Amino acid sequence: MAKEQKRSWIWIIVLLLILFLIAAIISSCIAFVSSSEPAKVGNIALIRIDGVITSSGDSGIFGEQSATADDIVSLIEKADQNDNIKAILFEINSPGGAAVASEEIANAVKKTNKTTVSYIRDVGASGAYWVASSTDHIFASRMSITGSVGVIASYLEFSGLMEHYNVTYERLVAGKYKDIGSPFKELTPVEKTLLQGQLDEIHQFFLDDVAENRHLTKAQVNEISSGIFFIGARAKELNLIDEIGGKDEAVSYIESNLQIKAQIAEYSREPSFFEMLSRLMNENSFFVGQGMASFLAKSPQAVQRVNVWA
Amino acid sequence: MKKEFEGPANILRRILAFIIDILILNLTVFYPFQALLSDMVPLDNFNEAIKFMIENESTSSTLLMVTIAMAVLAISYFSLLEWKFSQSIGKMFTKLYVVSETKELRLWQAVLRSLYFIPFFPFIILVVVDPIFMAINKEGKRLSEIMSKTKVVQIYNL
Repeated sequence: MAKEQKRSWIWIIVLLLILFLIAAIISSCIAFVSSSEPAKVGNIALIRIDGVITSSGDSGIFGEQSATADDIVSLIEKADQNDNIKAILFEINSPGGAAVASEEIANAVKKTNKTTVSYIRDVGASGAYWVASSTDHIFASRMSITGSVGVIASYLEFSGLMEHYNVTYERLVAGKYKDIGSPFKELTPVEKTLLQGQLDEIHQFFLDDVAENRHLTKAQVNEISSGIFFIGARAKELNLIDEIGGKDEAVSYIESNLQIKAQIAEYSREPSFFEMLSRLMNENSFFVGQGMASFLAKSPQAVQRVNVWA
Repeated sequence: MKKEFEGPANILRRILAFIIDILILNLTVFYPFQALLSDMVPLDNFNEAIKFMIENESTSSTLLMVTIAMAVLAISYFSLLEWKFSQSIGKMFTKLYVVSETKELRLWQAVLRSLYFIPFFPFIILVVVDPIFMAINKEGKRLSEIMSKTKVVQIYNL
């Protein structure tokens, strides 16, 4: 009798375990299927800008963390369309990136009707600062690296190396500056002046936008125009940030300004299959991954384009 | 000499058994859905939750999927245990039994008597109709029990 009762309880426990497992599988599937939906519980959308800002595409199997403008703009739009969201909070930890991508994000921030607040963690420089400057209020730690309002364009030039190996560059162009920035020939002084002129123009756009966003005086603009970065404490003196603080201070600021009790909903892009695979590989095979990534990053193919970074 | 016989189950015992079963379901089978639901809907305030669902249609459809899944699992819990042991865990603690009015209790009968968990028409009506039937029926039977030709009994001693 007791044996039978024991068997019944085992049967019941097994049944509960099976039902629990089925429930766990179903809830994971539903969570996976519904993850692309914009509606989320919360009244503050948290969007992270983490890593180098790029225009589009996700990081490759061995690629570094990057913040793509396409994704971030789409997250800003989703948060903007959700009536429950009253404010958008940007967590910035990025050294900047492509000038156009940074401007796209900055424009999307400006277009939104919600209150926008950003807080800079370790670094929010260059293009990332451009984005931060578009928000209504900026917080940064007194040690955060910010500013760096400048533009850089660089590439490796191999003409010396090719000459050393007796390889010649056969130049056939229609339009005398068509191959400007080619890694196989040295820049002429005229070409250098031309490229520098274009960089200066981009720099001016960047500077104007930041000056307008932050209502900077001429003296302040002059100080930041060198492209130097500033730590948070100095950035506050120059009006590049509004307050010293981090996430807690930013949330309190939103709460007191909008008279709401903060409920944060994280808006993030679902990682693609390859990204998930990449994370798994990075975690489990750190040395192999790191080694191959550094090899790929150093390969000449990776630097053949002239990129303009802000 | 003690004499035992089967009689209609006491309603309070039945309610207690149901509460125990729901608690067990909440702690086990429904548990994986709780995080999912709290991510989807503001659960602390009913009015806010309703408002949120009206404003976000996509959430409502996901919510329907979740409730259907939960219903199927709850039906499985009750019907499998009642079919196999004539008792759910709650009924074991309160010493109640599910019996068939015809022959041995079949699986379809056990399933039929738990269909009130399905969250859409016509089954959802049973959530209201079943307790009313239980209150007015002489033997305290729910409509689902009448349809499935089953009843809940307890052992009385004389």
